Order: sequence, then C-alpha cells, then structure tokens
Amino acid sequence: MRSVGPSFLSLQMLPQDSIRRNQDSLAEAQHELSTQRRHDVSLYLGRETGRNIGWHAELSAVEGNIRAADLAGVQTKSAKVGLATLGKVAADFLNNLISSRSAENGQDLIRNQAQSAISMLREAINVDVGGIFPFAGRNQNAAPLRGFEGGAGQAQVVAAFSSAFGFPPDNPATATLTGTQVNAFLDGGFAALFASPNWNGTFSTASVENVKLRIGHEEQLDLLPNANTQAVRDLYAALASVSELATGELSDDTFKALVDKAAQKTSSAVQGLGDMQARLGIGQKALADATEQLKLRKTSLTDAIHMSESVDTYEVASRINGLMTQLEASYSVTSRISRISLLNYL
Amino acid sequence: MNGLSSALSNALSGLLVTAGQSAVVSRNVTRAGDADYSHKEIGLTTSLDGTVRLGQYKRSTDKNLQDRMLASTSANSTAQAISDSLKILSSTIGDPQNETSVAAGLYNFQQALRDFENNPSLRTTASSAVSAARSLTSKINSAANEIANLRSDANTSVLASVANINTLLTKLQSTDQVLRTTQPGTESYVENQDQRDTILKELSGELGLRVVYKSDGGVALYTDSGVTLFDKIPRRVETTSAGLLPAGTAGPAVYIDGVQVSGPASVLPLKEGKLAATLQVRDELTLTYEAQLDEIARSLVWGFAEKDQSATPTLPDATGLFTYPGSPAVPPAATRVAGLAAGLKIAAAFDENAGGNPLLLRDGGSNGAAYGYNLSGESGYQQRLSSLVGFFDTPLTYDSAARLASLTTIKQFASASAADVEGKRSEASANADTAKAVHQRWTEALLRKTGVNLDEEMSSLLSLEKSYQASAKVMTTVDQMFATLVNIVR
Repeated sequence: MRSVGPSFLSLQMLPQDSIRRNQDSLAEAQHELSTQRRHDVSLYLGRETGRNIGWHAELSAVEGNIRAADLAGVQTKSAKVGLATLGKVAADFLNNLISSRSAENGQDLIRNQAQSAISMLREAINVDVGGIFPFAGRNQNAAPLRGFEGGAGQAQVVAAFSSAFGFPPDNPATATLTGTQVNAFLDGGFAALFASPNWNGTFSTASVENVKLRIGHEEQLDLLPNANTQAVRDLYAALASVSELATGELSDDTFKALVDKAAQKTSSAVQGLGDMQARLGIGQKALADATEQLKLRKTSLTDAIHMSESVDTYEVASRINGLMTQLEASYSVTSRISRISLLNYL
Repeated sequence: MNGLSSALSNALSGLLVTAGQSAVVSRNVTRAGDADYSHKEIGLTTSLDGTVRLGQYKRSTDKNLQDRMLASTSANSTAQAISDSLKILSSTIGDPQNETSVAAGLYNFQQALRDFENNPSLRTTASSAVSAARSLTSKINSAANEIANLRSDANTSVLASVANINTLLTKLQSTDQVLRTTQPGTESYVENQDQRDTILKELSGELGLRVVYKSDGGVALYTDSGVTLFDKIPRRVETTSAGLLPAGTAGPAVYIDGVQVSGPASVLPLKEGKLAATLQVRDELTLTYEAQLDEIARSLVWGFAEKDQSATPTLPDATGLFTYPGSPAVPPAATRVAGLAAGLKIAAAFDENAGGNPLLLRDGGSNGAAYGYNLSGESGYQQRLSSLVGFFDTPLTYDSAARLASLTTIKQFASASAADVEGKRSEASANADTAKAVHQRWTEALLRKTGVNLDEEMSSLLSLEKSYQASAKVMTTVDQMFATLVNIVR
C-alpha cells in the first residue's frame, strides 16, 4: 500500500502561493505608505463609495463657494464705498442748501454745487468691479445711472416745467412764479419723472431685481444696494430740482420754497442712505458668517474624507515589517525544502 | 535440475518485473511536475509456475477530493470572471479623490452652474458651466463605451466558452469510449483516466459539473442545473453569434441539449463556471449599469429641456443643453431610453467651440425665440439658472430597470449607481479571494493524494535496485552452480 505523503507539486505550490500573496500585500502596503491612502480606495469603501464621491465633490464645491463669497465680498466693499460717498454728497448738499438759503447769490452758488453733486452721485453709483456694476441690479454689465447734463433726464425736466408754466426754467418770466406754484410742480409733474415707470430707462438702466448670491445650499443672499432705491431717487430729484430751477431768476421767497423742498427730499435721502448702509452691513455680516460656516464645513469634510480613506502610517509600517519577515522566512523555507530531498543523499 | 532452472526462470522474471516497475517509477519521476498526471503503481501477480509477472496498473485517485476540486474550480472561475469584469466597470468610477466618476461630474457641473448663477453676467462663468457639462457628457459617454466594450468582450468570451466546451466534450467522447471498452488495469486504461480527469478539470472551469461514474467505466456529465451534457455521446452546446449587442438588450441565449440554460426564460440556468459568469456579466451586471447611465443621461436631457415661454404656450418642450439622437423631442418621464448614455451630447447652440453661445444657459431660447426665458434681456437674469441648479436636488422618478431607488434626486441616483458597482465589486473581490483560497486548498489536497512524492519514488527505486541486484545475484549463483555441475560431470 502506498504511504501518503505530500507530493512534489503540493510541496511546490504551498510556498509559491504564500510568497505570491505576501508580495502582493507588500506592494499594496508600500503604495499605501507612499500615498498615505488606502491601496484601492473604492474597493475598500465598497458601498460607501457613493458617499465619498459626494464628500469630495462637496469639498470642491465648498472651496468654490468660498471663492464666490470672496468675490461677493469685493463687490459689497466697493458698494459700501459708493454708499459712503453718496452719504457725504447728500450731507454736504444739505449744509450748502441751508447756507445758500439766505446768501446773496445763493441761487447761482447752489445751482453749481447741485450740478457737481449730480456728477459725483453718478460716479458713486456707477462704480464697477471688473466690469460688474454692484448698483445695477440684474443689469450687471451696464452703468446704472445715465448722464443728466444734456441727457434725456434733463430734457424731460425742462419739458415738464414748460408744460406746467408755459415757459422754460431759464426764461425771465420764472420770476413771476410763486412758492406755492413751484411746490405744486415739484410734487406733481416733476416728482412723476422720478417715480416708476419713468425713472427706469430715463435716469437709470438698473433692473428692479437684484442679483442674488447662493452660498452652499442656503437660501440666496440679497446683498447689494440698488440704484433704483427711493433714497437715490430722492437725492437725484433734490439735486435736479435745484440745478434746473435755481436759475437766478426765481424770487427770494420762491427760491426759499424750492430750497426747503430740496432740503426735505435730501434729508429723507440721507435717512434712506443710512438704511441702505445698515442693510449692506447686515449683508456683509451674513456673508462673513456664511464664509465662516463654509470654512468649518471644509474642515469637517476634510476630516471625514481623511478618516475614511487614509491609513495609519505606523500600522502600515509595522505591517510591512511583518510581511518582509514572513517573506524572508518563506524564502529560506523554500530553499531548505528543496534541499531536503533524498536525491541529495544518493 | 528442475529446481535450478526454475530458480533461474524466477530470477529472470524478477529482473523483468523490476525493469517494468522501474519504468513506472521513471515515468512518475519525469512527470512529477505535471499537475494532470497522477501517481501510478504496478502490481505483481504470481503465475501457476511460480514466476512473477507484472500485474495491473494502479492509479492514485480520490473521487471525493476530485469532486470537491472540480466544484471549487467552477466556483473559482465564476468568482474571478465576475470580479475581473467589475474591476473594469469600476474604472468608470475610479478613486473618489480624482473625481473621475459620473456622480462627481454631476456635482461639479452643478457647482459650475451655481457659480454661473452667482455671476450671471460673466461669459467666462457661462463657458465654464458649459465645459463642466461637456466633461460630464464625456464621462457618461466613455462609461457607456466601456460597458459596450465589456459586453462585446463578454459575448466573444461566451462564444469561445461554448466552442471550448464542445471541443472538450468531443475529446471526452473518445476517452470515454476507450474506458468503456478496454480492460481496466492496462496502461492505456489508466492513461485515459488521467486524460479524462484533465478534460473534466478544464470543463469544470467553463461550467459547473455533476459527474456520475458508471459501472461500465464511463461517465455521465450533467450541468450544475441538471441538464445532460454528456452520456456516451456529447450533447450540443449552442448559441448564436450576435455580432454587435444593441444597448439594453440581452445577448443570444445558450442551449445545451436543446434546453435553454441562460436568460430569464430558462428554467435550468447555469450556476457556476466561466460561461455562467460571462453570461451574467453580459446580460445582468452590464445591463443594469447601462440602464443606470441611460437614466442619468435621460434625466439630464429632461432637466435641461426648454419650455415654451409664450403667454399661452403652444409649442412642445424641446431639448436644451443636453441632446440625444431623438432631439428635439424630450424623452418621456420614468422610462429608460436604451443607448441614451452613449448618444448624449452638448447642443451645438451652447458650445463655443461649435460657434454657439453659452449664455443661452441663462437666457434659454436655443430652440427659437418662443423658448427664451430672459424676456427683458437682463445680463444678471438668474431665474432660469436657479431652477437649473435646483433640478439637481429635485426628486425624480427613475425606471426600475436601473434597480436603484426609483424616487430620488439625480445626484443621489448617480452616487447610488457608483455605490452599487463598487459594492458589488467589493463583494466579488472578497468572493474571488475566498474562492481562490478554497480552490487552492482542494487542488493541493487532491495533489497530495494523487501527485508524485520524489522521495517515495527514490526509495522505491533503491529497493528496485536492490531486488534487481538480488535477482542478478541469484542468476550468477545459479550460473555458478550450473558450471560446478557441468565441471563435475565433465
């Protein structure tokens, strides 16, 4: 009867298989050590792979959102500068109105000041950041305020005046107008010019709706001030009324009525501008908060990805040591087994 | 005198027997490294006249171990084939970090749209949104391509398997014939047994086998599902060559002995083996993944379609950024359109490289003015973009052919699809490792029983040498005795 011992082939197979397996594991471990990540991340994750794809995508989205928030921050900053300039223009004009009320050549003085204030207003509102106009609402690519001097706005004011009184503002006959008449004009035909729908298109190309900023999945932030805000219109109307009506022909009483009306409009504009600045400040705070949240989210995503995809360097290093010891043992065992053969002793 | 000459003829038969035995040992030694060779021995018989003759060949074998080894061979080749195919499918997903998957493409595209929504007036953000869409499209296209390639490879492999099985069965017929008709114990009988075992091993790699050894020395083979594969004569294994497999359609079925053994219509489907595995890859795994991609592509086409914006809409919805061969008609909801993933494209109207305008993504109107959303032409118009961004997070109904949750957002659907493939791959890879270890264990166990141990052969060679020497010694002694006798007589 044949005695059963390990056959030549089974003796050969055993160390071969274990050596191959060890070499594979060693190559994987070395890869893990050099990349600090699992050898085959998606194989290791299996059904969790979808989740990690989401994490990685969200991570790059969060980084994109942080960039978007930074860009929005730049826009709000220049809008803030614009609003501050507007506030100063309004406050200065208010002071000048009061001092010109009783000055000798008050009409000429204040008219010139109003004209330069209008261009300062335009400059402040038409500020742009890399081709984008923060005050323009959705019509981002066009300067929101049109020119007044020689533009449609001025022409309409003159036309409204003429149709109300039968002569243009620079006509000497304006001297005959009473304060009540001028007030009635300012509240009527003149005010209508600065109200919707005439304001849009004539004075402003800004759209009523604002461009909103979506940071992450949160609701959209409506950050930027708009050139169509009532405060801007009030200031514009006050400046335009003075620059067009204070021709020097008005009687003192009528001029005073004009100045009073303009002062009233300007001060309500000052208030409105304050509100706009406050709103912008709140928006900037919300933006900063959102950015802060995004950075926190970025940290937690990075952690989650790290936890699920990385390897412990020490663990891998000791695994490599173990595998190498095993391999060396396998090698020496293989060579010994091949030497232990009856053949060598015959 | 009679005693001396019988001693001489005994010694002579001893020499012959020893020579015959050493021939067997020599063959054992030379084929020690051949896994298809099993250890042989030759028995001795004593004749009536007392001389010894070579008897029957004995072959080391173990039916029990062999059955296990065959079963583990089938299981192993199933597991390896499925694991290999899933590895190829997994290349369409890749490392999550590299954002190579369709799901990552979707996330990136949504983010690009969000950037565009935040800066709607910039043409550059519009261009990068369209280029994110283009990269998503190419991811979907190349994944669909990968699937089509894998399917056609699997189909070729099915045909090769069928041909190989038929060849092996024909070979089996001739060995089976020999084994049924020759006397057991002869040299050619045991060699044919070896050959039959080799054929069975190869066959079990192709398909799961049940082997029945019959009293006449032959075998009958049945598939693991119970269809007769071989009984005295081979049964035909048949399939038709399909050429190119169209998307969404299973390949031609395989028939054994006229019984359908693959596809849903089969009552006796193959379970194990390379053939069963490649059929599963061709008709299930790839088809499911293909359906998932088709559904992702369909919902993109649907989500970016444009609606008639007139006060009283009369025109039908028309495809927008994403088009497919059926454009401009929008594909119906919740129904898979086979092959859509391969045919998905970016509409030229949006593509700057093709002279298009990426800002149409914000304004609509790629199908004519009636489909324009930005009626007042504002450069900061956001509504259309907001609703497109929102589309990615809106639950939609998906076809059940995709075998994923049917009411879900496109992002979740794509993630679930990636998870589905990688989950199956993880499972298959673990299965393959186990199956391989089991297969090695049984192969080794069988080789232990049937293989050649060199030391054993060497020691039997030693004893053969001794007995040869002894027989020779007997002969010389008898010769001397004869000589002595002759000398005395002379």
